[in-house]
Amino acid sequence: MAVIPDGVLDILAEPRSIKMAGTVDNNGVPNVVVISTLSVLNPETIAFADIRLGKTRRNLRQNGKLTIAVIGGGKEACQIECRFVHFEDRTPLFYRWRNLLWDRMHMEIKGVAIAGVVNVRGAEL
Amino acid sequence: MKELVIPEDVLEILESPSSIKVIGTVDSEKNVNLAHVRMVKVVGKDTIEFAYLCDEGKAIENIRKNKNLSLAIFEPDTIAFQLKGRAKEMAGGGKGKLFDGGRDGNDEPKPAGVVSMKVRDIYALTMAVAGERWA
Repeated sequence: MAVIPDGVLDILAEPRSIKMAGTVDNNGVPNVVVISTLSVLNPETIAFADIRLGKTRRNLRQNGKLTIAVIGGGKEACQIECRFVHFEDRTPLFYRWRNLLWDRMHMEIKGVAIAGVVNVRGAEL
Repeated sequence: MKELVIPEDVLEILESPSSIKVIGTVDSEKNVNLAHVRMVKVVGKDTIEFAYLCDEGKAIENIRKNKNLSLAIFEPDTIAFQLKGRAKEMAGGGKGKLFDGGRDGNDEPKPAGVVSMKVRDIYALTMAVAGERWA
């Protein structure tokens, strides 16, 4: 496991930063989606809500490969390679997120994806 | 099979400087690499080019071995799409339509090359319609 450095935590905390989640199916085809609920549970663990995850959910269950890209307001970019752990439902964390997202966005969540940080690096092409 | 034509609403944000674009590639161990794409040009009804700054980056290394690509584009506060397709060719040394029209004189770093991507599917990523096929 690795720890998200302070500089990246700062970008993640920017309200206007963009977060995307990349997964892969077993044929090696990537899938990249925008994630608006990404949260840092601790510097080694991230979480995001399953609101309308389709292919992402299937890919995570197939092989657990997950990379998060974060683009800050100044267009600085980094990526967090993760190992998917599980989807939580019917746990205190799930109910807390469910109530919060319903109050703020009127969106029903199906679960909360939990993933451990494997490494953090730049995301320039 | 119906040929894909990139729709007008997707074309609009593809070349928009304010949209955020991230390309997903995969290595032989099925690890996903995400890279921030700064320059994109539409070069055909189903083909785009994007520039890379470094020949030795992980994304370029992945594309040489696995041609499957996913490009997520997001115009903040408006709309987002995912373009799925395959890399057709890669050109270094200033070749490719992205370099035409003269990029000299601006402050952006000079690209090392371009990747040409044939788009096969487009999906909406905006929350209310996320996951729906767009084209």
